[in-house]
Amino acid sequence: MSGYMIKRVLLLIPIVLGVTLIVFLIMHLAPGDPVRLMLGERATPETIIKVRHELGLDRPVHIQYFVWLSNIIKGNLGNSITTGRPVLETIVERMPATLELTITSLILATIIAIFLGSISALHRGGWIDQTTRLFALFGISMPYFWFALMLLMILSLKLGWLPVYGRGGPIWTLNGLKHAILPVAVLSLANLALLTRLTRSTMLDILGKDYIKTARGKGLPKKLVIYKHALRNAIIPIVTIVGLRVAYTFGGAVVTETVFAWPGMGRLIVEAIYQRDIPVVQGVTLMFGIVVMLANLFIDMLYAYLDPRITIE
Amino acid sequence: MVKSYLERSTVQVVKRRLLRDKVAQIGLFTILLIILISIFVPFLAPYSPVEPDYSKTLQPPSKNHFFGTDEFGRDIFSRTLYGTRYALIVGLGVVFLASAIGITLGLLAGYFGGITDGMIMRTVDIMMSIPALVLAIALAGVLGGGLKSIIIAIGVISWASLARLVRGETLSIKEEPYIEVADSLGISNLHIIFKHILPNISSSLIVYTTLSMPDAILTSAALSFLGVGMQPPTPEWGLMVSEGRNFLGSAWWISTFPGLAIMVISLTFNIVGDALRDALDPKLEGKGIIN
Repeated sequence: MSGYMIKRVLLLIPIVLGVTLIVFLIMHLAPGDPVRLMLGERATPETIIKVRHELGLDRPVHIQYFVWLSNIIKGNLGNSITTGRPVLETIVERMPATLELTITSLILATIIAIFLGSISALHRGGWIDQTTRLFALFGISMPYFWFALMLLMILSLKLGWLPVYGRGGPIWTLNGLKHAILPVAVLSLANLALLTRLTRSTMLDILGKDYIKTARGKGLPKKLVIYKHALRNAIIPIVTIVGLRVAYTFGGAVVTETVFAWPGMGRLIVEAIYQRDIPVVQGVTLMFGIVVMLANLFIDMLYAYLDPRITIE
Repeated sequence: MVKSYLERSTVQVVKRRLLRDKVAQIGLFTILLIILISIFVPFLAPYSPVEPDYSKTLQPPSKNHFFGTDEFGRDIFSRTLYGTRYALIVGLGVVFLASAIGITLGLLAGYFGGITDGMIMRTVDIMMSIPALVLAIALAGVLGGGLKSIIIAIGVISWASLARLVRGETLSIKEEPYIEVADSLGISNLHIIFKHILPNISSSLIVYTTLSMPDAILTSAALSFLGVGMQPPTPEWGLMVSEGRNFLGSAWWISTFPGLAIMVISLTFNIVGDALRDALDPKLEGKGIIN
């Protein structure tokens, strides 16, 4: 187990380097001069040359990359062009709000999906199954920025049941919880729909297996067979897909945070794009990559724990 | 000749299965309808999609304006009809670009193995570590919005899961005796890859690409909604939803109808994709939409 984990962590290093390279290239291969974009139309040629030199943009691209990379390793993500504050400081400030939203929604979606998917599989063809499948189909087809606006319009503006936007403090306080209900619901929908479909098909697959028939045939109670034999085996593919959905969920957080004015990293990157604040865009993209990798590492640990056969080749 | 007989029979089997599926038929019919609307929209739309009419601002849905009008007096119904064009073009463009990259890299990785495989699959791992939407926003942001930028931004970030799927299928087909025979007969690698392996994974590809359409359309609408995609006054659905944000309390129709249109188109492709999967390749269940 510990050997597996050490190898798994070492394998992350080339991927982290790859992510830094992609983030760097996106910002540097883009058409247009970043300095001109930064300073606007009215900047004099002298100022442009001066700023370009200050930012090291007059050096060869590969040198720029290594300078940037060595700064990152030292924990220096540069300063925001608009506020002048260190990018890392801003990210650390915004991170808890995003993690709160994404982790809550992933856990919630997974638990409800396992429940709904299992019930649906056990009552195949019945009205619960039909309703669940219809719901799941709508769930994966929903543009969630629109779903967010519709919930906001009906539940907050028309009925006044929930706050319109913002974060009301940590989620475990009453005000925080009230503010988090809509964003978490919106962010959970796609994962909930997808995982429900997956749980259903996996459970149907397993329930047809010989060992389930044997277990039932030798007189074990139905509940025991479902929970101990079927569900336990269904959890493994579900956890795999949850792992693959982590990145997607953080992407969804960008939209959700923007709609609900949730003060997290997603809103930060959208604002930074509007203002052409390249260091912030780079920093946040990189940080999203790192958080997703850490989350996947955690999922892999969980995976190894759930399935003792797992080792790394 | 044997091959064409087999092909025809597969097509017939699939056709028969699809025709038996009522929901799939409705889906196929709706896709046809959407395509027709996007072609003939200049004749169908009662008003101009972009010309403002300040005498008719913010009117609720009525006989003259089925979906109401926006703050510039533009007819939401006409704008929504025009929106099908952007959704289809972006969806097809993204799926085409992502497939070209994903299929090629997946075939190369699966067929050649070794260092080629290692490098391609590590790149896939890297691509899958950064949230696709974050990367698309950053990319579309620096490319400066517009149709071409959206297609490129979403296309170059969404090939990774397809490459992984194609690689897996290639690996298993590579072990088949007929590939070994072809190889020992001295047939070139490229010929084997494109003439013998690619046709054998085509049913998975059809299902996958159909199920990728709604993802591409949803992502492109999200980019426009966030302001890094299509720019005003383009009648693009995501943008239209965003334009109605300030009027949620007073003019609900501005955001509601274009959003419904996005849902209908994405629902339709999901239904047809599901039906195609059931008809072509039941073992694919749950694959296409995982990302």
